[in-house]
Amino acid sequence: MTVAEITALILQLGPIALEFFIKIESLLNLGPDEKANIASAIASANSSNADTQAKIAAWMQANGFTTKVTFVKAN
Amino acid sequence: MKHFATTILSIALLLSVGCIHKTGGTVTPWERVTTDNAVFTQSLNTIEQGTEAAAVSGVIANDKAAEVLGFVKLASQDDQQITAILDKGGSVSLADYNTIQGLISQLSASGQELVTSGGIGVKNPLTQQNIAQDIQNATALASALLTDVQAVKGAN
Repeated sequence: MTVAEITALILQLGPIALEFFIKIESLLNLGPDEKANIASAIASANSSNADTQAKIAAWMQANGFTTKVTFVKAN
Repeated sequence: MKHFATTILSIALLLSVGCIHKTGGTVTPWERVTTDNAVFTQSLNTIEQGTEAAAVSGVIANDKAAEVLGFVKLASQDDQQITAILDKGGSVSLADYNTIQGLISQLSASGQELVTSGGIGVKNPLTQQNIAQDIQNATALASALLTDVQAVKGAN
């Protein structure tokens, strides 16, 4: 993915996505240590996925969705 | 407030033109692929937050929000597997590449099915675009990630 593509996607996120931008910006400012950079990116991905799944589980439970949600096809 | 935030975002983007960059060397293919993977996970997190906010404000029905969140959960689980493969580091075998390709194909098909099903043309308050576009962006990011992984594999 090119820098231009990433920048275009960030721009599409709009003004409220500053937190998102700051997280990405910090990821993209890589230091000299390759292993540290990779470990940081992997940790960020794992943390983000865990956070996403925990919030979804909480929302599903709070809203009474206890069974597996399936996609509904268009009629 | 909106204009002010837009200005700040624009300035920050201008200052960061040229990234991905690093001090003291070239960005390696592994740094690029793991960074782009992290960007993808963050996009999923943003869809999750925005969808829940839209449901709370009543612009999207809970049933539809649950479908979107079901997709995001699936995508997040797929990405956990992808991240675990990337975490092995060093190289991407043909088997690993095929696994990642299969996961991203599944994710893209599910995303397309969800978009086609309709009812998600409502604005995500976090991204200021509609949720269908968010999902299409996420699947585009996943496809870009696969291209990155292919480049790493080719460099082996």
